[in-house]
Amino acid sequence: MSTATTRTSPPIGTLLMRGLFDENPVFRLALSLCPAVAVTTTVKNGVMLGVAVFVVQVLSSVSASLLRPVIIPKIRVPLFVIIIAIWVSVMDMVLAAFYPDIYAEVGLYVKLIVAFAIIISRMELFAMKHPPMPAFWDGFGMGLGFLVAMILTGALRELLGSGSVFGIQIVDFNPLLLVILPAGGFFTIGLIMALFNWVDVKRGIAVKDDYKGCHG
Amino acid sequence: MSTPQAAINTAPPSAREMAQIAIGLTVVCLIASIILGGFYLWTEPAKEHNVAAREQLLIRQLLGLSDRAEVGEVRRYLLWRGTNLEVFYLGESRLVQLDAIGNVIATRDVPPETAAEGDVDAWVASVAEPGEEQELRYVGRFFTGIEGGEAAGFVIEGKSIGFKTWIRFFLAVDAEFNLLGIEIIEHEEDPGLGDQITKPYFKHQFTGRSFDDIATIEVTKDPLPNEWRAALEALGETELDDWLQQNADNLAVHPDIHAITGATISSVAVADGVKRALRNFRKRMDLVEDHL
Amino acid sequence: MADAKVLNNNQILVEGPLPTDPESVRLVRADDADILLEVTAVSPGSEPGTFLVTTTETLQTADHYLMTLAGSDLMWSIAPSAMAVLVAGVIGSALINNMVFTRYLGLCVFFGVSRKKETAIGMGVTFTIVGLLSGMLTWALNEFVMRPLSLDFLQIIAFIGIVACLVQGTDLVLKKVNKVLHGKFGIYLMLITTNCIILAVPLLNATNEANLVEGFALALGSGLGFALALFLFSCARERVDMAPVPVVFRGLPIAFIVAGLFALAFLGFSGLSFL
Repeated sequence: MSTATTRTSPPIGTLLMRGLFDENPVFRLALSLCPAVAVTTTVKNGVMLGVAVFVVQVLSSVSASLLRPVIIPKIRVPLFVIIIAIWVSVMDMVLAAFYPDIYAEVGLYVKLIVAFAIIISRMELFAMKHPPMPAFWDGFGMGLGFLVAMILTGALRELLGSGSVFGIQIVDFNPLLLVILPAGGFFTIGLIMALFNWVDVKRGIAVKDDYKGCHG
Repeated sequence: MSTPQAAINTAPPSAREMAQIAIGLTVVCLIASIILGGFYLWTEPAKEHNVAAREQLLIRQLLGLSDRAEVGEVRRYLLWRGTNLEVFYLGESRLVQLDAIGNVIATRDVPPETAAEGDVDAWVASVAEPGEEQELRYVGRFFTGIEGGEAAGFVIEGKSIGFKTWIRFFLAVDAEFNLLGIEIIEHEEDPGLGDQITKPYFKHQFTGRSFDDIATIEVTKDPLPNEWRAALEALGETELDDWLQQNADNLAVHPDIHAITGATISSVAVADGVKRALRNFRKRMDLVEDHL
Repeated sequence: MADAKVLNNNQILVEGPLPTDPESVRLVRADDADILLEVTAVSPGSEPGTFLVTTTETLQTADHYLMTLAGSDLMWSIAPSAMAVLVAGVIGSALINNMVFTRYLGLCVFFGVSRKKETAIGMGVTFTIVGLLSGMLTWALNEFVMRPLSLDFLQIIAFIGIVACLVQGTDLVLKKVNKVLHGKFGIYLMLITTNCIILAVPLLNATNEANLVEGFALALGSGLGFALALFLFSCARERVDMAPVPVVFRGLPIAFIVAGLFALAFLGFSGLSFL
């Protein structure tokens, strides 16, 4: 085993908090955005995809961590891709088989989880260097962060766009068509990101405005 | 991702490493295919079962069938022999072959083992014996709901070109070809605009119309009156017969389909599709009903 | 088969000798070929050797019709030409169903490289070319290997494998052939693997069972649409970065709002019809 594996792993609380807020994959890192905007017209779709990403993230992180001893460093990136592709295909088949209703709406985006930078970057940056348990919690935190982001965006859009949450009518008013329209997804996420920044300002942390993109 | 990879790639790997990498990747790909193949074998039957079950449920709901009722499927195929057309209808137990004008050329019984689990399309192709460069093409289907030995109604699968691509829908009629309801199965209309075709206030406007009503139905751009909209939305909660009784006047007062605001093309596409599907279905039934 | 095309809602322009009797014209939809459409009149066309067929049916240019004449071996197939399908497909996937603004794909790279016009152009060009190549390769793989062998469940792994190999291959070739070009576009090549559009194209083609022309149109249109979106957005963003934006909106939040405005503008293309 390499020295990296003996490095002490951060406590579970820190790992979870990092995924949920400090490095929230959607609102902070702006990774894996496509589905966040696309399928969040209702909470139900958001939850479905959020859960799919959550499961794939946890399974991939743990797989990578477990396979550390046998992974040849030179080809680790292709191997990560194959591991992710396996779990995504499995998720895809299971959802298509047992949840055909929702799958009809989010199917394409489930398949596209394979191209999410967040999953591979957690494998490369964390799971490769830590034992399975911390890798599990890291994946858990990041997956949960994504799931929460999806629920938040979905709930906001469904509430404003059709006055309901989870399909249950809550307020009766003339819905804001704009929120449901493709453009609405961008607006909603932009506003939530600003909200995250606002919390940072209140906590006395300087707002970072240099987004680096999806490099590793 | 790119940076660490590039750093490693600067030193060319030795022959031994190359072999190791190649073997490693091959083994991994093999394992991956085996795992996925296993999952495929496990989920595929469940998927087929669930998809079929969903379709059955929808058909039963549209026709208002009881649990004891049976649903039969009739598939339609076309075969061009040069400029001569032949039409095949495959029911649960019989295959009917017609010429272009609608005369029956032949009927055959479906072998029980094919009907039970075989590939029916392949069987029809083997019976039809298409010649060189002739292709038997599956083009559509409809379902028959059988309640207590009698046909209680039919569900027709139809499609129509919408705003972007095809809109696929189910259309339920009773034995007298009165429309019991429509359901949109698949569409890619704009969210918030064209996708309102799936909403009760639009699709229920077709419910309760007779064959002749549908044949002359028009789409109007007039706004949907509020009380009519409320009545349409209430259909999901009341029984169809009760609803029809309560709204007989409403149906007479509103002979046209009110287009969705901002999505006239999608609305017209559905109305035209329903019109055509029902008209064609009746013509076909007149030809084959007695032979199936 | 001779030439014929839908002229308007009720008329078809046909190349051939004028039939004597409208009754002898058998006009059908290809999918409903057992149901005759009612033909009310035939009349000579504006050019010699052509004639017009008038029907009560509302014809759609995107649909497929077949026509025969009683007592003749001639058959007319009335469908959009390959060129029309190609143009409609490219316009459709580049403008009407723009991958970025209506399907929200490739957002990661979209926000990542749109800070400067120069990088946006580099990425756009690289992506269009590689996307077209991978679109065609994956189409061929799906059409000739995976579908005949019903290996659908390997779709994801096979497509991402092809994309990864293609990107690596292009990188190697470019490095050997043209160092200058590689220096300029090499870094974008690596980013392409994380762009969902490159995977969405083969997946959409496979789901829609696209033929060669449709597959080509989707691959090309998606690439062009992405390049266009990236370029337009980078132009706007260069100016937004200079503007006095409220602190909490600086950086990504305002970029999202701007992208939303673009998406709203692209909605205007919806309903364009080229068929």
